[in-house]
Amino acid sequence: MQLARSFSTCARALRSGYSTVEPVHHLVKINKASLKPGMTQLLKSKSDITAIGFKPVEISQDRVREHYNNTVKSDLMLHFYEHDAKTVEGQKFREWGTDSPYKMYRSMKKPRGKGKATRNIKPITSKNVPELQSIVINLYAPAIAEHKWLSVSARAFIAQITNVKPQLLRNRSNVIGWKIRVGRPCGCKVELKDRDMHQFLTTLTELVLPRIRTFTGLKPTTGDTHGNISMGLTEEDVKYFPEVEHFQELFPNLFGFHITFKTTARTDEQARTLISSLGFPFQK
Amino acid sequence: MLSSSIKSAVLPVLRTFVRFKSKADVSPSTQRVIGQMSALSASKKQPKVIRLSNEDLIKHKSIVNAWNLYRRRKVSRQRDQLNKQYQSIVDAMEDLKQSEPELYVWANTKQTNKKFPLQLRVPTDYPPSQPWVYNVKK
Repeated sequence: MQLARSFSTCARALRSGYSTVEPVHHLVKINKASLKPGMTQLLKSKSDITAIGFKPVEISQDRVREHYNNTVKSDLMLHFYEHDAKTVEGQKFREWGTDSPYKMYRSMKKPRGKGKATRNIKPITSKNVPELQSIVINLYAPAIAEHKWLSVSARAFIAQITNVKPQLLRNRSNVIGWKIRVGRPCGCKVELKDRDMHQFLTTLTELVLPRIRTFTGLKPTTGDTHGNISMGLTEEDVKYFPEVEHFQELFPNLFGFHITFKTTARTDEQARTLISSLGFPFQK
Repeated sequence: MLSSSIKSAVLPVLRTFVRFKSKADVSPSTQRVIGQMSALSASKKQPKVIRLSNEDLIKHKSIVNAWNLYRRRKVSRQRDQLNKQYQSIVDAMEDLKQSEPELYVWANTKQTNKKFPLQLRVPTDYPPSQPWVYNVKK
């Protein structure tokens, strides 16, 4: 059948095999190079022994994990227990109200207090006992801005004491007085988790901190109000790490750094109690 | 750290890396930085993929599966125990509330700034001969 040529769109609907569904092109970007069969090796998890990046993880006992699970966890749960406790609501963004049409599409009012939204603090049950999530080491040394090659020494030092490759940090602002330029290396950071974290923790509490003469304990007020505890070590303190102590000619330049303990506790007080159970002394 | 306390002589690490060893002499401090750089880089440190026969692979997989099963059971056992402990705390407090309201108020008072004693240590395979020091000087 030959239809007369027309501008009407009805003609298209009469054709057989016409789909009413619009064709979808390139809504999801696919990197086709990563779909080739050679890349399938990289899809395997690192715990798989046939994977290229296979890394045996559980090669020794995890003392800190066992100590926490066997001894500390139930004690913490009992200590933080409060009968008939209610969830303490955090500060949230607020509605302006409905009494005026001008308030309808207005962006939400800032939270009370510091103007930042905070989390709800739920009562501690067996499901949410505070635990240590990770340890973040942050090294910033002004000397690196002056001598660029010191960033290599700093990273090698952190890699040596933590067993994890640190990430290079670069300056984000220009300060002429401090000779700081954007994009220049200024330090490194690393986030330790699980076994590396526990290994670092025991080294710190059993070998390093007891030998620092000036160390009297963590400050009783430490914390960022959301349950993360911080402390700092100077370049005199870090020489007691056994990984660098006996290789002084390899690590002549040592750097102080900040250590942050990230916990699942919602308040500083809970976090401090948790940290004290892992062998950290606190000042009175 | 002040620049005056930097121990090695500050020499610029300006060296084009070439495949073969060059005769150009490098100062020991520069050599140390090059050594640290190569220690950080991942090249040549990746061990070879372990080639296992099919039989060995099946053996390995069954061992790993058994280990995971053991771990999972251990975790669920600990979780159940903690849930039971929590439930018994709730029951005990509820009981106290009904029977002894004055004691309940005392028991439910929140303790602030409590710390674990420093003598609490992470257990080791070889503990000291005197594990707990009773007369600590503070």
